[in-house]
Amino acid sequence: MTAPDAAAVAHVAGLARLRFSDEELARLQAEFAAILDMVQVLEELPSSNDEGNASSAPIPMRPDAVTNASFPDAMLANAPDRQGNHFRVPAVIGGED
Amino acid sequence: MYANQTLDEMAAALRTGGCSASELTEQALARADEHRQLNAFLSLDPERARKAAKQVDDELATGLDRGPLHGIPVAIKDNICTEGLRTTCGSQFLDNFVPPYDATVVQRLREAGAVIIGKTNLDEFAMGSSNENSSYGPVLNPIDTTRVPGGSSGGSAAVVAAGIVPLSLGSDTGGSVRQPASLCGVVGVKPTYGRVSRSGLVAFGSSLDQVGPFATSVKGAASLLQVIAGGDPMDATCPDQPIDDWARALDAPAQAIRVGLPAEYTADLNDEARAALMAPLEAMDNVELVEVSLPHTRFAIAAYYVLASAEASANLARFDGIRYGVRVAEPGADLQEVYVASRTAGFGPEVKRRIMLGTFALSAGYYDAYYGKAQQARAAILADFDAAFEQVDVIASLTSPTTAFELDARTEDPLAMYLSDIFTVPSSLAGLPAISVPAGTDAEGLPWGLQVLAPHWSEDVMFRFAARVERQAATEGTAS
Repeated sequence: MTAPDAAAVAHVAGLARLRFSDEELARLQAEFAAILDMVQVLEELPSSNDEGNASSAPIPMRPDAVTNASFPDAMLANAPDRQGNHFRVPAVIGGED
Repeated sequence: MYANQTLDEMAAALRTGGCSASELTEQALARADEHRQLNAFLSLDPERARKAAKQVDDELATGLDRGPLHGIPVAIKDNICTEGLRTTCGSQFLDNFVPPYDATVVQRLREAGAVIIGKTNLDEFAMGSSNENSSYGPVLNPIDTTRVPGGSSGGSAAVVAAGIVPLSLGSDTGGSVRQPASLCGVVGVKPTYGRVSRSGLVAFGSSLDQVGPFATSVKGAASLLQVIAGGDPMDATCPDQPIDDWARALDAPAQAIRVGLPAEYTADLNDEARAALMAPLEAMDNVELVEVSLPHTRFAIAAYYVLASAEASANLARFDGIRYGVRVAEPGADLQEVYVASRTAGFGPEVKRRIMLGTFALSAGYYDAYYGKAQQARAAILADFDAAFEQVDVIASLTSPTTAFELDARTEDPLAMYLSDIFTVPSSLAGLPAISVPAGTDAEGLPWGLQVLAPHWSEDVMFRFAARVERQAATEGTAS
């Protein structure tokens, strides 16, 4: 598995909703190469279709019941922008993807 | 103060009039101020702490006793939500975030009468092994302020090591309680995955994260864990499991025990490190040392950084500038542009690196090679531990391959920093309970930590053996 090239790192940045300068991208690409070189050891594991299951206990279920009350002021207290009891957001139309 | 006073002694003094909770709280606040240069606190909460302490004094005066933590000052890592008290996760992204609720562990501490004096510094979003990734600057190690305290819960380790509070809470994803405990010379516990509710802990790697205690003694750590442990409907991974009185059980006579020493953890130790590990173990009575093998250990760091980063990339997607935290919106910017600008401005370099690594590992064409393989390694590592625990009751190792390193020594090399976690990551992947206990010092007087691992849900066995290590290390400390 070869380390991703500059274009691939830029693509991942887009997926992660992050922006980097060309200089930062070049540094990230070098760091990726070193980290993925370390991760390479995983290729020595025998091929298997089984991802395994590392969980130590079955996850219990609980009834699907409403337990929270309505606290709009508490919920919105940290909102960067608010209108009435709503989070105010920029235009959703636009962008790429 | 606390270094010479056990939790039992403080609890007794509170009940016999030797001191009041208000005095203990004032003392803790004064010491926090004296040790400002450590940069261990991100917020203090003197007003509410004083009010809580006064309430404790009133309650004890009327005979209401909430148990061993009643009136004890504690500190909380700043990625654990506290209602009405700023919770930053060490990130400028959340510089102004004030949680609308208490984490379950915080609720339980308040119900037990503990007095929360403040929130401690950490690597941003708990990603780091030296506390140098905090947006608010590094924490200094109280034992030697030219050195790191370890991370990511560096502040919580430092405030206990400096004697500001006798107990604190941290969180451990790949070693973030145990490694700083080791580097600061205090006790730190990562409970069994699922033992403690994560509700209100800001998520990093959800299949790994656990809240855990720091304390000046094994008994203190056990007392604190007893309070915060136990099922929580708010966290589906936290089932009801029996919780014994682990602290009280430590007073029972020591029984014969088989202690596993993994060949993979001792092979590369230098003489000084090996002596730190072996001296207390070899000096104890009724201990049978057994060499065990954990053959998949060499895959652990790789698997951990793929899985933890993948989970982080998903968990940190919630930080988008819409509901809380930083929002950067140029005039006319659409929603996508606000996401990108806010995240780019809000996150620091290590967090971005891990989000990138995790997004890459989960992306089309790479998922099988990285995420799938890492899951496979994780299952193999768990199977190694299961086999080892057929032969032994506990496993012992060093907590960290080195003592506290100097500030800036590893900041330019993410890989060297990742390798700080070589002895803590495998048990995190396996979900096992683990504790770091101080075990002597190196030639420069810096503490080593000895790590004890036990099977799932066997905190009782872990604490009992850890207390023996603690007693042995104290004996050697007195003798040398």
